Amino acid sequence: MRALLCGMVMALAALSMGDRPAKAVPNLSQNDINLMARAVYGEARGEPYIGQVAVAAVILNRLESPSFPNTISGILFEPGAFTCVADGQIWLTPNQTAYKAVRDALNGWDPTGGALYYFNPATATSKWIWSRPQLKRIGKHIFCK
Amino acid sequence: MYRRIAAVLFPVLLLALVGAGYWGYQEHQEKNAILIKTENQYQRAFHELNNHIDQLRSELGKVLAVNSRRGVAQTLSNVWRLAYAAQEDVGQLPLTLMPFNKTEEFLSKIGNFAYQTAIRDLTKEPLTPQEQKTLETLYKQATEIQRELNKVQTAILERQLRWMDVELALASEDKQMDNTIIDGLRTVDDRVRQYGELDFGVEAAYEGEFDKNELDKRWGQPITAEEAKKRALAFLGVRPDANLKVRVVENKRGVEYRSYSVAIRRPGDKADQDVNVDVTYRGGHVLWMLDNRPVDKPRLTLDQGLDKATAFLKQRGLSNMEAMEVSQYDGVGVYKFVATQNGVRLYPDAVAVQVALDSGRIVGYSAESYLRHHRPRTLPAPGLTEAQARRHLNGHVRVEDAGLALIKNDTGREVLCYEFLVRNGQDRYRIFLNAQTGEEEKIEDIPAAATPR
Repeated sequence: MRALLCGMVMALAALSMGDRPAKAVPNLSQNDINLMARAVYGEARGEPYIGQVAVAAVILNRLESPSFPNTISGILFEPGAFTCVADGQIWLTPNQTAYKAVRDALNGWDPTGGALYYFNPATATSKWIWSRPQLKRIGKHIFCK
Repeated sequence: MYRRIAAVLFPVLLLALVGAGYWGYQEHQEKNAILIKTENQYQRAFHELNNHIDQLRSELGKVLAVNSRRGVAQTLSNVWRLAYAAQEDVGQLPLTLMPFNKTEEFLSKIGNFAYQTAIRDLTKEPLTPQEQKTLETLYKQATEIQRELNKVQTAILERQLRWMDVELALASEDKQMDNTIIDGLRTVDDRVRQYGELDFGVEAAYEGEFDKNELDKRWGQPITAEEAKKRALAFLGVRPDANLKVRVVENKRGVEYRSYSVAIRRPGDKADQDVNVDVTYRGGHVLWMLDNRPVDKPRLTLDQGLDKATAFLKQRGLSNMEAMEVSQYDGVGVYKFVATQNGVRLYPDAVAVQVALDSGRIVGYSAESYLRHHRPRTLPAPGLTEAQARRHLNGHVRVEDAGLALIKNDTGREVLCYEFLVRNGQDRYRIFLNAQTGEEEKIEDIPAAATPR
């Protein structure tokens, strides 16, 4: 049940332009960054580097989206939102690359072009996730809105 | 002999069996305790959600009934707080696998609307008839949402439905289970979806941001994948070479504007060391670039890195850029630039550049915001002088720097401001005062690590 979706949720997220300010870099605490690095490591450690930046960017895009919680921890610990939270892999110690991916995303790099969800097509069983408008594929993940 | 062994072993085995049984029972009890704990957390979140929506509805009703400006501001502040609290509740429920996002979005919009309205000076700008109407509609809609949610709440209590089952049912897409909760919440979300776009007034589209059609026109003619590859290589200053492995993919249609992703692998690089460049389909502009080759010990200072970044931008036609923020991690300097026009900083037109401080090569570039906003603007003349604007500042802060800047304010409008870099004790802030009225448009704190110039 937990392997089904790689950290995504639902959302019609029909974000109008008006909902999307020019990427403001949020002032996150060091521990928010630590949490994000853990999530990136837990979710995407086998992925190419931009795939890791992409996962971090999705978390930040959710922070700006009205359909998601308003804090990093709220987003990560939303029940069922991220596989690595559900199976405890978020508690692995992240490496340098995961931290760098988080910092790049914080500095405004978003390889996904505004994605709010991603999933692994090989393991995803939710029909719903396939209905989301897809943006691009990076490594094993398909990123969508 | 056999009986003797049996006589000894039997009690031993019996004891082991009893022990194992007791252990199993304990494990079972513990598991149940954890399940109950989790279930209770879900129950709490859902009942609180109901409570917050009940209150939200009643506060919205009060806004319509009160007369005094103060009363309106007070009740609207409550609406804002309750909408936020309700959003937090939703975030704690296992609704990940079902559409409930319209409802979340709705709550967020109510919150924003209430906030924007509550903080404004209602004596100068009272509620407009349009806003009054929006509030009436919101009240009606909140009443419907509350009614539907209460139905689900009643069902949960009467039939002892469990959220843990919801989680399981959603995960397995099992149609056999009792779906009262899921169906009830779907009803709520469907209803919200039907509400359509409500006139929240403040949600006006961002001024100064091109919409898709305009961008298409401005960015130029469509390019082919082959052309995208050439553009990417030219951007990197790399000559096309048979040894380079270049992969070009056109991105899927869900993207806001069509683009190509180009991945370049140099001979000898590992799989993870591609240089990735995204190029727009129209005009072939580079949206962003990232190079993940390992970086050695820094040999350049951050200032030398800045020169490299500035030169890089200039070569690519981006002159008149001013570095606003500098940071460093893992041997890489990160420089954030904004465009300037006649000395006015244009904050929406932002570009970021990463420089590897070992060799000075450019390892990152991000220009989406710039591409979406940049154009020659007709800037208004400021209505106040800098000295006049300065009088609107808090008397406790020390001004370190001042200038004119164009920013997007909270409502997404581009406004000309006086920008003051100020220090208050150890903390530094960037304060933007409207250049016509002196009103505070925005205040940003500057993290200690960043070293603005």
